[in-house]
Amino acid sequence: MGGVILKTKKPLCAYEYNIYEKKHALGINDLDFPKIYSDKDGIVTLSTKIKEDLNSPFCKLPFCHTLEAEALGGVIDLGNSKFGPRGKQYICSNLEDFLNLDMINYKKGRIFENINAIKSLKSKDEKVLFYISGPFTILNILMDPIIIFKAIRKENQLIDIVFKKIMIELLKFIEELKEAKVDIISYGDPLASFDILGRKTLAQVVEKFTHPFLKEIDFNFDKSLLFHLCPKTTDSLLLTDKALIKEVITEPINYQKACINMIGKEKFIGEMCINNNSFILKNSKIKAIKIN
Amino acid sequence: MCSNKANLLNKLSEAVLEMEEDEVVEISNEYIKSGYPVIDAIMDGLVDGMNKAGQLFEEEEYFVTDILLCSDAMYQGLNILKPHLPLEDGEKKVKGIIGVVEGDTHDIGKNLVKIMMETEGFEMIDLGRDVPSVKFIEEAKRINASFICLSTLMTTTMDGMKEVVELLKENEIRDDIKVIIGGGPISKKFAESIGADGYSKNAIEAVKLIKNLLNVS
Repeated sequence: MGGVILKTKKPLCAYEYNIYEKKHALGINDLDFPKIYSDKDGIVTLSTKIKEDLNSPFCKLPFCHTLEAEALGGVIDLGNSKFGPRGKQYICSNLEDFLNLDMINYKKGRIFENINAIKSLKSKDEKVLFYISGPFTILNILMDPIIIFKAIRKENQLIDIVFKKIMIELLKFIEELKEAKVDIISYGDPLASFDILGRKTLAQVVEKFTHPFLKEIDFNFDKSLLFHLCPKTTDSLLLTDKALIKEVITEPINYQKACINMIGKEKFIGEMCINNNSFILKNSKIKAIKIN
Repeated sequence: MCSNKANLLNKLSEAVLEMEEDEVVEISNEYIKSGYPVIDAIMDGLVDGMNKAGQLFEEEEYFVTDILLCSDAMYQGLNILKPHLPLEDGEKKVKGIIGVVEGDTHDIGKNLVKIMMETEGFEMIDLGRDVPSVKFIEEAKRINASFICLSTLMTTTMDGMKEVVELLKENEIRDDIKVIIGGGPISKKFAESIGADGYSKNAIEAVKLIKNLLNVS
């Protein structure tokens, strides 16, 4: 399994860090959870320890893909050392329920703690990468995904409004992250991939959300950061002719370090999972993405 | 009359294949009024449509979302037709348990496998997602399951599959229950390493695998 166009050979989502297996090496114990996922100091401690363990050039936050959904009102099981935060129960029976959810309040909850954690890490001169999730990942926590798939097929206007709400929320979130001085924002939405949606539905999603969302980011780009795309997202853009690849000369270094080096030089990079810390750019080239 | 029945069955199958749940409902109600045997509507209408969808999925014409929407249409039809089935004649269905292992909430693939298994005539008990390992064992014992299907999309939760296999051994029921696994990070090699009976890369393969393991046609 790999990218349809990028033709990456390894599975694209195979680089998760197993906190449970590493807890002794990290010097944390079961009693630290789940507070360590939801408290600024705990978040800073855990992300720093993981960075050191991986010999990574940056600290990565958050530790899950539930932050946005939780901030919108989703019910999350915060987990423990073995299993991280994940959705617990759906709160929306339909898309109208979703549209009635309040906007994200960045001054409370885990999202607030994570943003403060970025500021704390930056004050210690750490480089920080922050993941943000796309509409399918967010909605999948809040409702049965069949509701979304049906709407894409049969309720065009409604899904447009839903995507609009999510886009507004994510653009606001990006502003908050910029203010916190994050170095890299990594965007992914694994459910919105060719394998799951197929060409026709994928094209609709790219047309209705992914492309306009990234165009908006492109237009308002802040040179102090890099926007990294999950390679599945890159693939979806290439498959629908909404982006081009431009090879950029770099050094034969680790992909993560190369991404750091691209800050201020390129806007979008996205040829490999950003969690893959063993991928070396042997040909000294990295693929930048140009949004059409 | 025969051509009307054939016509209705054909329309039912097409409506499932085209994911038109409103049409499935309408045709199912029309079929009930016609008085033809309900089992034929289920098998030669709904299941036929689902099988065609499965075929398109194998040919990579249909994708996961298409199959989910086809199944949604099929289940709408089943909701109408099933209550009109005559009382069961005692034929026992082969029972299976399915679920996403603990720590993981990605269930689209699991739902697909469940749908295809049910289409093939298996009775599936769906434990949902984020299922503790011990729950698989409890349910397997309760319903006298012949097989367990385990799914995960995350590498950090794969060990849960090994736990299920170990718990089956501890409960001395390992030999009575086939275990198949699947999901993004899963492989045949991993299946062998944990002592599972098999690995399937997609829902269609899962059905073939179980039929092979259980020696059913």
